[in-house]
Amino acid sequence: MMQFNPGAVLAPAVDWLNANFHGFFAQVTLVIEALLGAIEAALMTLPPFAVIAIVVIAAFAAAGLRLAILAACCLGFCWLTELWQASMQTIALMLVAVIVAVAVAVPLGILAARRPAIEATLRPILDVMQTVPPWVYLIPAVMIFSLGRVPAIIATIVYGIPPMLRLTTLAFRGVPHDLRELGQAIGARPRTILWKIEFPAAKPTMLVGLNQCILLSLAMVVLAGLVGAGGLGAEVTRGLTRMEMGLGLRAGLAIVAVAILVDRLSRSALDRGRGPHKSA
Amino acid sequence: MESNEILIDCQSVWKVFGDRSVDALRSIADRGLSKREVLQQFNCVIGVSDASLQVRRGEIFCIMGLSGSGKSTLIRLLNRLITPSLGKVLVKGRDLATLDARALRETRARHIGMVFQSVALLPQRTVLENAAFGLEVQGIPRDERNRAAEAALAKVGLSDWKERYPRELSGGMQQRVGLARALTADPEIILMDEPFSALDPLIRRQLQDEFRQLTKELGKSAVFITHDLDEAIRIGDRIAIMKDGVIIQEGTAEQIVMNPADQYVADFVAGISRLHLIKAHSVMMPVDGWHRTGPAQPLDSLPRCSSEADIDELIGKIIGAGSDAVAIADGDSIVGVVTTRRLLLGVRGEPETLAAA
Amino acid sequence: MESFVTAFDTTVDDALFWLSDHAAFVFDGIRALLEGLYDGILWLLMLPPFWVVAVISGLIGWRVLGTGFGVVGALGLIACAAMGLWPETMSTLALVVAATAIALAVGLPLGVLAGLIPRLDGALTPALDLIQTLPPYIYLLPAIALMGYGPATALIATVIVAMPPAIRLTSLGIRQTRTEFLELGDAVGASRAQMFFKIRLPFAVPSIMAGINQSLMMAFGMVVIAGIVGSGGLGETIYSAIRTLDIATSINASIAIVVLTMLLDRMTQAAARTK
Repeated sequence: MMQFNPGAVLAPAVDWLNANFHGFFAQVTLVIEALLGAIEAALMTLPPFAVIAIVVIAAFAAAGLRLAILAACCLGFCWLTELWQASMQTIALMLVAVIVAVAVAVPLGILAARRPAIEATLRPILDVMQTVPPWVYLIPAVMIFSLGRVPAIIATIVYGIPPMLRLTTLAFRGVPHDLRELGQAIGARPRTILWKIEFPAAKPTMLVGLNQCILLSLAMVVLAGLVGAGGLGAEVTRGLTRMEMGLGLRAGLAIVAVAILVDRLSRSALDRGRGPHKSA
Repeated sequence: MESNEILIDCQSVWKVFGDRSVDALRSIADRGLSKREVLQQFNCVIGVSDASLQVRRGEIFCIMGLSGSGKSTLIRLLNRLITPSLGKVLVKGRDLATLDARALRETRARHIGMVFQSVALLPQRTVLENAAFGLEVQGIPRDERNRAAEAALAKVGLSDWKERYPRELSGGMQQRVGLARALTADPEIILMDEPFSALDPLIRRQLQDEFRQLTKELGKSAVFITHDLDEAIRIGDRIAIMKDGVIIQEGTAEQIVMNPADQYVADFVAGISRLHLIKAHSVMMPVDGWHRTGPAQPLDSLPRCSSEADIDELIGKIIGAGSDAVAIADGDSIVGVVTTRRLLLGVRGEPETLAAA
Repeated sequence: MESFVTAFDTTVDDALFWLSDHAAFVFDGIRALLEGLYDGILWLLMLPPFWVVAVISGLIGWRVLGTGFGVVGALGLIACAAMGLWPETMSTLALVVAATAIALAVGLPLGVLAGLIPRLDGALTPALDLIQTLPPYIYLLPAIALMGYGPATALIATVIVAMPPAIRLTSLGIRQTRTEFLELGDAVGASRAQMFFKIRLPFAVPSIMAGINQSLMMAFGMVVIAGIVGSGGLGETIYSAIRTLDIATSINASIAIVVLTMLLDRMTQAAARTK
């Protein structure tokens, strides 16, 4: 029987990476931990009441009473089930991951929209990335960064990039040709065209991409609870391993609550983005 | 040939769309509201308003109107794809409302065929299977229904294409398959919902002529809706013009063109050529009227035409015979005279002036 | 708040205890059934030597997607064997096939009903939403409580996760038949059964196939997660490799998983397209 062991071949490579680039990885770990720490601190120093109140008011201002009530219910549920800290951890993880993913995906997406060659190269990669199950991203991340929050964030960022990228490309490709020509005809600078013409036209589709990115990131962050990322995912795992059904169920429902809230919030941004056309 | 048997009898049919249609109908009965008022007060749309019509055996009845006139709704009331809010629809003497589900299905399968604007050929089936679909639904065994379908396809000239799939056919050919499908089940009545609107003008002409010929040959009745008055005149024995759900005029093409019921219809017919529409009996003057205009030629020396001759034929006679008038004869007796003056007025289609002249 | 949480937890625990006490035989029965199905399929897959299976899947891949894919697919499976992961790969495959089969057997008819009865569809939608939002591995909890560790647990949790896409897409396909074809059916006098089989169903096929594909992929993702509960297969391999930071094995197992994923996904998508 043949012996085929790519793992044995690659494992030393990973070790080598770990040894030689340790400094770099350590830096990355530091930066991420710092960012996370800052957001978590912001979310957790304030007492739950305060955070809920802020979110409710923001939701009301942004999208009206229904959303505000929803926010109150969802966050209230997290608090009521004694999972506030875990919820905040999960949300913090998700926020950081989304911000970085968007920062990477949007420029790449715009580039792909403008250069068909790049899009053609990216497409098979994105296809594979979206077919492979999410936790596959956790494995290399854990290998390099060990268990904890950092691999969770990295895996989540990588997982959240494809939908955002694809939809950005779609959005920018879909900007009507005559709008771009208008920009050129009036002698606008490329940067002006980008910000004043292309972005507004691309906004609705990009918001869909953002909504997708957020939901997928949340799912991934929760999954990463299996590998020590803390948050609600860890609570579910704890319930699982300790056979504490109540805890597991509570954590699961809290995840649903956060997911619904986050989904509706980003969708309301979508509807507002479509504002003027909506009443037609 | 046309008989007097009434196949479709539509009696004061109404269709109002909307949640509050019942209230709206009551208000219409009490206060006689217009379409706009109904929309504003009840948020309901009047699809068809008090429509009555009769279609006889062997006749082609065209319903013409612009979008929103209610013609699509009206045709669907005839096979009860849409149920009327008020009024009765009788097909071959039976009120459709009294039929149970099975009887209604049978009526639709056997007595009323339908051809759609979008053709609606099932893409997963061959042309032959599509044509045979009506019989398949009735449970007729395969060999028998395929034979009938092949015969129908032969009548529309598509025998060579029976094993192909719809996507391989052009628009005009697909619509012929739609027609074959309606014919395969051999119904007495065919409902046609703007079947040629989506085709280009040349094909449209061809199909209009083919359709009229085929229908007459097979002795079928048809209700044909269109937004094109030219098409209605080419195809129809009788025409009804609809606007905002109301049938505003009904009659032969000649009647409508000669006597438009209102300005709306008049505007429509303004562009229609009278040459083949208007017949001698509409433009002739009585014999003593002609004698009074002066001693001119004696009656017997005038060239003769029947009262059914159209203006084109009359012009031909006058130019050919070099005369100024034509005598209109019904058998051996002379019933009227057409002068050049009256002929010119006929070309213009001005009935009032004719009456005075 | 304390009391709410403790009350909540106690209620949940009590409910589960009650279930496992009073309905033990039901769950034992289910467990036996599921394990039987799994064992059967696994036996079938392990019967021929690995290269036979590889060749067969290569042939299927060739028929459905062309030579390139056929060859790569076969090679991929051979690689799994060469890495010493053949039993685990087949185990995972058996779990996926068994779970998807059950999910489709329940989900497709349910989807058809939901497509025909709007009320049912409306009632099902929030339930399906909930199932799809909860993290998938949460379904392992009650399964473990009622059926212990093992393949049956993995199967039942996977079936739950794999059903929503099948139901949703089937319902969508049936509901969204174009109006003109529905009108055609009416105008031609088709009965309700005829409308369904001759008109709605043929047009719903692409959507249903997409549902089957998604079902399969969801099942696959879940089966690997379920490795935590000792269901065997590549999931268990990966989980223990991660816990012990055994990089080599985790890489190998990941490759095997990616091979299986690509195979299953591309083949079912292609089957969907040719229909």
